[in-house]
Amino acid sequence: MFEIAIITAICLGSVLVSYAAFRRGASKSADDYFVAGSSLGYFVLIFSLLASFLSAFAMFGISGMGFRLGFGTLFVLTVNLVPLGFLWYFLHRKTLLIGRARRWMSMGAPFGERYGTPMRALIPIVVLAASIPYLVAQVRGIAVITEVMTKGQIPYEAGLFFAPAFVVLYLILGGMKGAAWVNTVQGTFFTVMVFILFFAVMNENGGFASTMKMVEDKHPHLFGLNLGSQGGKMSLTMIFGLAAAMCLGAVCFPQPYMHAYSSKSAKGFKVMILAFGAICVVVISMTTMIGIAGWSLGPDVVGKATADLPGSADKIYGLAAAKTLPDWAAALAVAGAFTAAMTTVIGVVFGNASNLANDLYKLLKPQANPRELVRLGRYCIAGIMAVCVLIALNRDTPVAELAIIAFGIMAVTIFPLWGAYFWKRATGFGAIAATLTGVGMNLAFLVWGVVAGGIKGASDKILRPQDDLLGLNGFLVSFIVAGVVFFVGSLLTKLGRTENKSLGLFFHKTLD
Amino acid sequence: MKENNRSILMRAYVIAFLVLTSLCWCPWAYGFVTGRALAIPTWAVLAYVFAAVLFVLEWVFLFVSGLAVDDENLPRILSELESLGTDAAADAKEDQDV
Repeated sequence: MFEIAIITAICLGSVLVSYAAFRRGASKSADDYFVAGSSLGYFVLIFSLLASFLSAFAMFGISGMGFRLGFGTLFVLTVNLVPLGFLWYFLHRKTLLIGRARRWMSMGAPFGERYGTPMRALIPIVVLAASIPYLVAQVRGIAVITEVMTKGQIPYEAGLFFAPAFVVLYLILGGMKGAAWVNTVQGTFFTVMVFILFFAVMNENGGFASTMKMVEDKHPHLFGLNLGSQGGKMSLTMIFGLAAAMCLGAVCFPQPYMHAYSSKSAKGFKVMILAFGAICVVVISMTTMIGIAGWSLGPDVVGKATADLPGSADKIYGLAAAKTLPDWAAALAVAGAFTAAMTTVIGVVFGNASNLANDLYKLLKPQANPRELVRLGRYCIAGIMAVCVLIALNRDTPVAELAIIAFGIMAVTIFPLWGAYFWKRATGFGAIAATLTGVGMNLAFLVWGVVAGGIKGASDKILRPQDDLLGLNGFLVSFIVAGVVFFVGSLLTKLGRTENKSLGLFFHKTLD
Repeated sequence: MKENNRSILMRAYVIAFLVLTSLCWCPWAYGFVTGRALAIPTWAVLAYVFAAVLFVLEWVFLFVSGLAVDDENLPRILSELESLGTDAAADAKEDQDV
């Protein structure tokens, strides 16, 4: 009963926060609804961006990886994200400046102004295609957590509708401002819960050093890499592939665009991008080490997490909470993962709804007024969520692997983005060809992997080094080829009217 | 800051950023280091150290170096960009009219 009360309180609390934003006039115009009228301060920006990226995967998935693979997991969502402070600044400084000046409200806007209509139409389609499996993974995660927390009182199928219904409600009500405030409150909550669980787990065996010593004595391979005689499982190529995919994918998802447009000040934007990596290092290092420390929690925990079932290692977070915290606190710790999944859904759904309304619909109907766009954005939110819930009804949908692959697919748009802001010779043809090639190759590797070895084969083909790909993984090969296609395609074609016209804005001397 | 100095400083930041990013994305230069420090693998400690150095460098670049955009210049930049075209102004006006 207590668990149902927690989940209900989180959902109702989120609606109230969003409604408060709505009452403060957050949704008076399209600019207000989609980019919060560029009014968000840096505290909200930091936690909103953080929460919109850190999903249930950051807790269950990463602690499970830590449990299986050891300290190499630190290169998946922690130290590898620190470069985002620079990367986001370089690649999104002009997103902030030109976006504010031109009242951009979607991810397709910079691509459209720089490369023309076809690219503006392509971007929301690619983003949506990459986002759906990622969203389905979150929706399914929410339903599973709800079912487990309530011990089946809210079954999986009901959980699929329960939380997403609230997400739709408060996104429709509050727009970007409501979403940002909900993300901030929930992001703070799950960060605090990770801290509490980390200290509880380490305290179980007399502190951090003694816990790590216990694990190392029995499982030294968790402390090494697949290098020399260390005996670890993660090779340098595998680490590089995962680290680059997650970091570059993070640059290309809709959230940094939407948060750049929403920033009230340059300082807010800079604090947001600097703090993101640092907070990830602290918080996700803790979830990684909770997973590693899982080996010290006794056979009842280890046995359940090593059961020969897909994804059983991902249970280590919940098992560690149940073992080291009182029942009510363990429920709150798991609820932290529930809120993490919800906030990711918010960020990705809202970004996609904004893309569909402001890019695709506005192309079909250029004279659409802001009220129409806001209404359509709300329909898109409901529609995207409905599609995700329908797909998630099938429990066997292999979405966890596809969710990681989504980052790889998104990453190929980094070349058109870089070219838009930094290379005058970039053309629409090069941008479209690179995007289609990169996405197409990722999908081809996916199918190739499925044919060769089912969904695990697909995951391996894209994320693990392959002998038939010169020791690289499918993501890196797609990424490199997309880059080559972008440069060659641009050099072989001439700048069209749109590209020429855009140079005056994108390369204005005031932006130097 | 003179344009030439600014350009040199920018290149230095970019080179440092590229080197540190490569170290944060892959322990190619220190993954072979064995032993333990602070109860975790020494190579993991080194990864944290490189991440910390990169974080400080980013902070200096964004808030101290004078190379990054700041709020003093923001209104001027926005005003110059807004004056480039009439489309944006028309869109904004339409937005306010809702």
